[in-house]
Amino acid sequence: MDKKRKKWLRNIGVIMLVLYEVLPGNLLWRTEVEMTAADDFYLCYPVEEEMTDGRTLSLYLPVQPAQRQPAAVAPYERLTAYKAIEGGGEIQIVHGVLTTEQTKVRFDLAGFGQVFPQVAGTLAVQGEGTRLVGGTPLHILEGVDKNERKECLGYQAGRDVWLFYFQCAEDDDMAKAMLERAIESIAIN
Amino acid sequence: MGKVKHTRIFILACLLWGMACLKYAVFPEVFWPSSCLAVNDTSQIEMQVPRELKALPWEDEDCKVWQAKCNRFFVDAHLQPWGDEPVELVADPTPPERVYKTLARYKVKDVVLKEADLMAIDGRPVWRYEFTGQKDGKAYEIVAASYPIAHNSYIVTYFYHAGSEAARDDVLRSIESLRVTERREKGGN
Repeated sequence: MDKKRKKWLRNIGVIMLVLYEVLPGNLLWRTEVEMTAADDFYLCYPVEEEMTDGRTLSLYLPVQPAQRQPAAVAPYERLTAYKAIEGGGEIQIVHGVLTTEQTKVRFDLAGFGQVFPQVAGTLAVQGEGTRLVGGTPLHILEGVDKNERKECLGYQAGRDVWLFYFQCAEDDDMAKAMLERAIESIAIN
Repeated sequence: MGKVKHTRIFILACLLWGMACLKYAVFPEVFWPSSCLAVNDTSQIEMQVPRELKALPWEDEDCKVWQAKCNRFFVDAHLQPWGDEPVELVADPTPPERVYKTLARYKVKDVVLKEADLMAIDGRPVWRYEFTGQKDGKAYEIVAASYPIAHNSYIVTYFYHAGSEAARDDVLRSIESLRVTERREKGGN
């Protein structure tokens, strides 16, 4: 290898090194901690309601709900409702206080259909189940109605009854994930 | 001069181009796309982020929201309308309430303001705030920039893992890329 060629190779090497280090985005000497799937960032709107037994049921919604106090109807002595309809999705929450603890509310399709007319009729139920929240089962019913995914949840602890309705487009993965997070965030403290 | 020098320049140019291509292939986040966020019918904000910002299908308390999760940081942009009055920059270094609301929306706890700097970007005064906070048991550093434009405040918030110097460099690079430009097409982001 002659001198000239060696000099060229050296120059090319220097240029490559300088470019590699100087071009933004490659900072080899800098500490780096990458974001992972566990770094979950989504907007949360807390909903909290104190129950008659002193405990609080809380959950985080992906959108800001509007709160209202509908007139109470039997067997409830008090009702509070939350509603949010955004971007093709819908969330409804009803917290009712029963006049008597002995009343047992039905958490099946017919029972949910009385409160949420959206599930009465053509909903094809795909799954039903429960999970424990604060030692009490949270009833979950999910199904598909045309192109809409609809989930109904029911919870009764003494005189307090919670009914939840979540709806989004079946092919909208982002909305589905948001609603699932909201459902998972339901907690009793 | 002559043929030899031209050949060298050509080889150097090819080398530069080749390195850039290589770097783009190996590190796709080197060349960041510009995200255009509509402010009104005539103007938009352009900023560079490794991944294009996507608009949420709903608003957060009358604010339009855009988000992007990049390799090193998560970014949220809120466009807060202020009605008829043009927004003027305040001399007070206290972060606007919107910044704290956004942090609360992402469930960031133990928020501590570390620094507030008034800087000039594209000839406009911009407040830059630096915070630390905890989210889901992990320590994050947060940088927020408040950018007044016409009758709106544009607040962009970056979240990255505490101690990630590379992420901080990226965040500062992104903040400095903020530009107000004429809106080319209506209806997009």
